[in-house]
Amino acid sequence: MIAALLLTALAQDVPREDDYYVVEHLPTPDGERFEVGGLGFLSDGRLVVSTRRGQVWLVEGALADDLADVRYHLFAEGLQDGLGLSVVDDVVHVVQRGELSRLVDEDGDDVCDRMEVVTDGWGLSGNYHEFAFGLPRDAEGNFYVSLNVSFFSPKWWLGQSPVPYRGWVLRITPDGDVEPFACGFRSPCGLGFDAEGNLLATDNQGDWVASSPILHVQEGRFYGHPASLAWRDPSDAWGEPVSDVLPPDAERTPPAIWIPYAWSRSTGNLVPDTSGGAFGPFDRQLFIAEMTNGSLLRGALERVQGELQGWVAPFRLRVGSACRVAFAPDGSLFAGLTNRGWGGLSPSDGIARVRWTGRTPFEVRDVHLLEDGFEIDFTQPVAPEHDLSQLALDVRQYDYDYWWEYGSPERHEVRREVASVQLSRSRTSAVVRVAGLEPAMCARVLLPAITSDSGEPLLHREFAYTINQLPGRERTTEQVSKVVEPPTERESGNEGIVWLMYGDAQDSFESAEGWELCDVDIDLEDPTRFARSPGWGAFASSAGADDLVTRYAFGDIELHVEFYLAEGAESTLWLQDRYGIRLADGAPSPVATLDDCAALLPSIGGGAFAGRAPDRSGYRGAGDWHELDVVFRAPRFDASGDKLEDARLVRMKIDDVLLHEAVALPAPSEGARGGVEAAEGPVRIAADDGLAIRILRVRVPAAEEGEPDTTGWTRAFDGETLAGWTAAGGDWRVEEGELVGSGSPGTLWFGRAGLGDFEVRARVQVAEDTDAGLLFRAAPGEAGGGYEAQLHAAGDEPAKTGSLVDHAIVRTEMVEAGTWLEQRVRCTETPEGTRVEIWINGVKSVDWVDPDRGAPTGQLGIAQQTEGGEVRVRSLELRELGD
Amino acid sequence: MTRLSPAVGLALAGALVCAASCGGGDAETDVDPSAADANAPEDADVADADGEPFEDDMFLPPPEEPTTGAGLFAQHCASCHGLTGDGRGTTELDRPARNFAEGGFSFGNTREALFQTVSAGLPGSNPMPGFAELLEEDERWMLVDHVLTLAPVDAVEETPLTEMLVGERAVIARGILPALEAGGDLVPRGLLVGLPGGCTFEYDAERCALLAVRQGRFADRTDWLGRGGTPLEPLGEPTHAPADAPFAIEHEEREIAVHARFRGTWVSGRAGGLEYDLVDDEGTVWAGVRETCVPPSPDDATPPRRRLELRGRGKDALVRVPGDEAELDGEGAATLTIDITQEVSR
Repeated sequence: MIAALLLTALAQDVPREDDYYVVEHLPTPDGERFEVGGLGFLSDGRLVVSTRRGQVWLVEGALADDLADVRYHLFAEGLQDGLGLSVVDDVVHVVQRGELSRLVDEDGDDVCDRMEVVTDGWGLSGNYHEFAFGLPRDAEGNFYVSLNVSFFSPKWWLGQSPVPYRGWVLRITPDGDVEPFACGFRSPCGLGFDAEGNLLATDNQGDWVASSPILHVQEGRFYGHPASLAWRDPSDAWGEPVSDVLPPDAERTPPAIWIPYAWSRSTGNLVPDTSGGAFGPFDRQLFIAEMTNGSLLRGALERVQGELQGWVAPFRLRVGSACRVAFAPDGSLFAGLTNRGWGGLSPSDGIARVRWTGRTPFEVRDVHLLEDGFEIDFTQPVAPEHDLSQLALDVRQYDYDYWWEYGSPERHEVRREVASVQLSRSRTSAVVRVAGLEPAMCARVLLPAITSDSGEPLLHREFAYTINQLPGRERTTEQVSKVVEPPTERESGNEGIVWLMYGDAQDSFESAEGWELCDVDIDLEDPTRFARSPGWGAFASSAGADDLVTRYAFGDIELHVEFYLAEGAESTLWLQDRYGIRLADGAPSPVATLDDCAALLPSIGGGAFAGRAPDRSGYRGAGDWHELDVVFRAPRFDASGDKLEDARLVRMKIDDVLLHEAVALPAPSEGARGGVEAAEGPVRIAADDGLAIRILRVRVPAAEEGEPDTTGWTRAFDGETLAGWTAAGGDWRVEEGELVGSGSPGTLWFGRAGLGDFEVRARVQVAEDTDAGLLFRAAPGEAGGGYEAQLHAAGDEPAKTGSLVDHAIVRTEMVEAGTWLEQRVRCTETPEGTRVEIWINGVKSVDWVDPDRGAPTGQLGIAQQTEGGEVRVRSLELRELGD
Repeated sequence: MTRLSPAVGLALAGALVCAASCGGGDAETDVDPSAADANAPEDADVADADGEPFEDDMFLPPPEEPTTGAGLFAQHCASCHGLTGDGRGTTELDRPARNFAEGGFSFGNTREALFQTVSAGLPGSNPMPGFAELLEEDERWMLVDHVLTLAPVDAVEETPLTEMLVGERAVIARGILPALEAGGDLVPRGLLVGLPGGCTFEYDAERCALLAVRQGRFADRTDWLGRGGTPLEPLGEPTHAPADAPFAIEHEEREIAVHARFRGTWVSGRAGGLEYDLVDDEGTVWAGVRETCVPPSPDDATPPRRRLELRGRGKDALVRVPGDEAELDGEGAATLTIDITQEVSR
């Protein structure tokens, strides 16, 4: 009882975003999905909403205190999308996929009678991705519209501009004339003006776009995505072909702000606070809609070396999948929600209203860049007991790759030393001097857990500043996203990965009793529970479910898992079934503790390892998917089994936020089931009825120490010819150093007959829809003899990659079709029988013993078993074992 | 729009597909035999405000002959369709009326589609009258539910949530349209004008070209699913194929090529249509056109029509439109009514 009271008291003491900004969701009419694409207000205060379903609604009572009285009226329907809206003299204007339209109500009955084309002066090829966004309007009455690039199969990831003006921002005059204004955009979902009248656009990460940027759109400029350059010369009606993969030589204007991936993966539009204080202390700053995390961000720009650049920070979590924001006449902020097909936090549809409670949060109010640091303004004076110079500020810099590959990791991450921190006399501003601050890099700054004069803790402690240029320094021609050598093949990103829930979500685990494949959302009535619906979006645990324990044991491992928690959920991710990482919901505390999500559990008894809190809170809350990435190094033992080196958590991140780095794990954690430490062990995910996971994949890093083991290995494929091989059916040849089998089904037999104990390792790629396998201890012309190690299964064949066909079945697709994989097979005679072991990308998928010794010796062959299929081999090495 | 590589996204989708088939999801729609009655009048469950059943007849007026679906069917439908719905009525027809036991309905097997047919009737060579004037809405629903009892239990389909319906007011839908014929190009700027009674005019808005006239349900907005941007699906069957010819102007014995510049759409009560200008390559506007979609009349067998109100822009000219032409005197207006007589064989 006392403990419960104490917890309540603590919970009340820690201010939450709700204490300053209240989020309310408007009830919507039964049976309607409000997939909001545009927001505006009529002069009588009614809200106007356009949706992706091509409807336009008039909403009465949206500004009232009691939202129960909200009334909806369908003004227009049948539009082709509605991803931007502007109200001009009480006439609703909507940008549809193919036109900018004026919606006229001729008889005043609040139903649109005429839909007049202002302009349809841009192209549509019919591709699904050709969305049109808008719809800000400048002082001269010009509208601005932004157009997506198109995504065609099969290389959908390379955006195209098959018709004018895909990848452009257009200016449309009041007369409907279209002026191509600026280009180089990819999926510019949000357009808006800042308080000074600068046109801004957001874009979405993908090819040529490293992360989500905020761009200052200026006439004639190019912003990085090359496809749109096809229409740059207006005299060339058909456009110049533009390379998909080579960086263009056009001069690129860098984004004013790069929003970190952790904070935005699908950015909507942005609006300046012009409420004159009605929305709180952030006058004229930008508020930015974010779909994936379902949040609002806040930021501001300043002019450095003649160009706008600035900072961004989280403002309000748990709004829902915000695609659009607009300020209402009363200074409240409305967010239009949608995420269909784009991924986002629930609620995924509808309208949210954000109102200031009148209580001023303790926040970073503004940030200005100095030649050697930052000047940080606070909304309240910093409490006098803080000696800021003694408190650690964490400053990290990083940059990005500019290439055709999808997005870019944060590159060249480096921690900068904070030289000094000096508070102003009023204690409302601090000058932070940073050693070695570089331009053409972003800086992410984590402030210490300070409190204000009135005892309020800092509500959000982090901001990210995009330092294109440093004031007072020579202007750099470098950019944050730098031209790099592009990858030659898209597939290369997936090489070496083993998928554990691909194809069959259950088969990689000892048991998946109590787990269900479904879509999950937080139950709004009881947020400690899931609302489940039919679907394939998540693998959800229920009460009493078995823990998920992998059938495979791992040593060194890079693990990626995406998890989703209901309120109060508690789980543990166990590496090697011994080292625990806490996955638990809880309110983020100002200073992360061992109770926080992503904390490392203490060792048994706590003596060897006291546990470790994450460096910061990477966990955003219940009802949100989190990507967890762990790099783990297994303990090392000598030949007699004595430990040489502790296990180590090399790195751990949630959504790219670094939480642990180089942490030694000297002993198993409290609650571990895996027993004494060993070189290998399975991954365990503890069941909890508030836990769902999706996409579980691992990569086993190549052995790092010592010379590669070459003893006894011979190259069965010389890389140039088919010498030593004999084809039986099919078309076998060597192409560019690769052994290729295609055409009709057939087997390529290796000449060494009577092969007994051996080990083989091969680097192979099998096309989608092709059945292929490595045959061993088999004989040409004799069907059914010998063994087959499955390389890839097509269609309904249950024995997937990694299986020993007919004997030991793997139902999960461990490797994506068409990806190069490493297969290793060992076949030896043991006292118990013939032992077959198979590894795929370093993960042992089969260890099986045939007591009947069904095939004592035989030949080795590569079988391509599908009409029109294809198998490619880059290397195939053989080592004979035994006497 | 996440940084997950596309391969990862595919992988997830793959995971899910396979696992679903393992999980035993059943794609077949099971139809509860009682479902057809779910919307029938609930005379059996009359209850008062507290949920207590009324005592037998205590406060009820003396029983009248109740209106039932079966009664309405016997009265209005059986003469053609037969009392059992087997298509063998007493009325002599060129082609027999539909046999409901076969389980197919003209414009789709949903309650809404049947309601549409019952209300508006069917045009064409084997017409059926509509009952919108004769019967109240609830009576037409009773008929629908009775007809469904005459059909096989698995014949009924749910109306997809993405279906756009046309009520008493015309509805215009913009969207990508599939090619009319297999192998053709899709229409990126498509336009469907849906009229009460189940007639739909299908246009390519970029050319302001009428592509087809359809009869039946209106449209399935499949672009409301997934990421959007997919072609929507017109649900009516094509009944008429309009002439496809270019617009042209004859002026001072010169033939001038013009194209239509789409200006917008309008809806006025039950009627709807589009507006466009006829513009030459120099950008000169020769005429403005307001086009009205006129549905076929099952009563007197008139085909669907397009009515074009032309407004000249101050030049004497002959305006050629697909299927007709009109003289402009420069000042006034001309109105053309173009029958679309070319029926599509069904």
